[in-house]
Amino acid sequence: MDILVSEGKLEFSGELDETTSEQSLIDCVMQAWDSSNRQGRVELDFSQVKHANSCGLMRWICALGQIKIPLVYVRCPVWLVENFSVIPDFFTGDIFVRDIYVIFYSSKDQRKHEFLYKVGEDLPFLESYDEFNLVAYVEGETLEVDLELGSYLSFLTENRAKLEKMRL
Amino acid sequence: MNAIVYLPKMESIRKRNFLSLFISVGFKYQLCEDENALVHQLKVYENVECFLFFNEQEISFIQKVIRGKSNISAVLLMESSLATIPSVLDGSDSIEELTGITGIDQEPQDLVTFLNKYNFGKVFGLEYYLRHGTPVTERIIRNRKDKKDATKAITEFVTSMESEPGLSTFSDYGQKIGIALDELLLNAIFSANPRLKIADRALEFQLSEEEDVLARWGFDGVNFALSVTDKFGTLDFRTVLKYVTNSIPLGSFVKRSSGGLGLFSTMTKVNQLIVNVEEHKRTEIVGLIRLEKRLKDFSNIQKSLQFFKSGSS
Repeated sequence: MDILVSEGKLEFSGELDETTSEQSLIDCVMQAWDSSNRQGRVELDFSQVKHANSCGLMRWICALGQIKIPLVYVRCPVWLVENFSVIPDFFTGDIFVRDIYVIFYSSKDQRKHEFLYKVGEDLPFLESYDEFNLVAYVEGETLEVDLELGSYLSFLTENRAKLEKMRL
Repeated sequence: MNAIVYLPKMESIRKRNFLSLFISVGFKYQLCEDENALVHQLKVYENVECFLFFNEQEISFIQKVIRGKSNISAVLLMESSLATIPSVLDGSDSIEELTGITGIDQEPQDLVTFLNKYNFGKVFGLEYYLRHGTPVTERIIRNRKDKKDATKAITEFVTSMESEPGLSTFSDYGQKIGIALDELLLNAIFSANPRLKIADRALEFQLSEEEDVLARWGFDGVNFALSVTDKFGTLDFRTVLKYVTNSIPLGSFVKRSSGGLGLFSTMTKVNQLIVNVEEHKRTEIVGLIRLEKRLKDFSNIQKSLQFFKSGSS
């Protein structure tokens, strides 16, 4: 896995797998935190990670358990959001999620379209997302969500108290 | 082969279709349509194979029936979520002897395959799930490079089926299937192998000929099938159910090995998971994915889990 560290921000790319070092994850987060003069939240951008297996997820979760600084997931790709809903440990500690990708499908050109949605703004905190819907428009066409939003967004319900409090 | 078949109330054509499948694969069945009839038949025919189809409304009845019975061959769950399975089997003394359990609301072909595998005892091979003549790619995995190459190859194979670059589904399916293979390989290489069970998975590994892992995959135009086989045959039904159906608390991953998470993750990426075990010799896990045009349609397909324990190939 490659990690680009900049001021208060980490950009991950490549593969999050069993060869990913837990210690290097911790070190990079601390480096980003130091470079931002230990202010705000360190941004975690996994949008360029194309392959993440269970061992890699475990490495990240174990690292997260040892990081005691404010963090925020940004530009969360679909694979990560899907894991948010089944592994509560992604929200261990002082951690928020700023925005997530949602996939739409165009029946006109049969292509996938991805849009970013801000948590707490575009995506309100609800008790359930079973009845919740999103639509997007591209060149006059109304696109349908190509995900089961009820389960996809369930992490917002499960972590509602914590996330809502952080947003305030 | 004689069998007791318990079918709950359902539409008559569907019932006829179900029963005709039993005949087509060589079963002579005694049909039970209500609880009293089943209880009676089980008393009269203690050594007859028994196939129980049921739905979520009948959980407590099925629990009562299977407790203490050793001739329950298969419990077939209809139109229900996988998460229901552990509660159904809770308290069953014979869970290790159950041959299979599956979500039945797919094509009748699924049930034919299931019954055929049961009837003839030949359970291994992803060919059961692909149209006859479908080419199958094979890779033997002995080290990390083999594992990475196989994962890359399967991802590229699926992605390359896209007729026009940029069309949504195949690259997403490629990614999902690549991860599913990776998870199954991790299980076969590390979790199944007593030598490597507690090894640091970040370190290089080298498998001997007695330990190597076989990965296979093929696509017949509708279904994509992949399989991973280890040479240990130690996976049991209870473990599969525990991890696949997410019936364990997920709140403390830090304290767990990743093997269970891998199986759970695989189940989220396939429509059907079939586990074939020849005790102490080999375990084959087959994953089936129906490549729908839209990912949402894929995720709406009923999940199915089957478990076969066999002494022969």
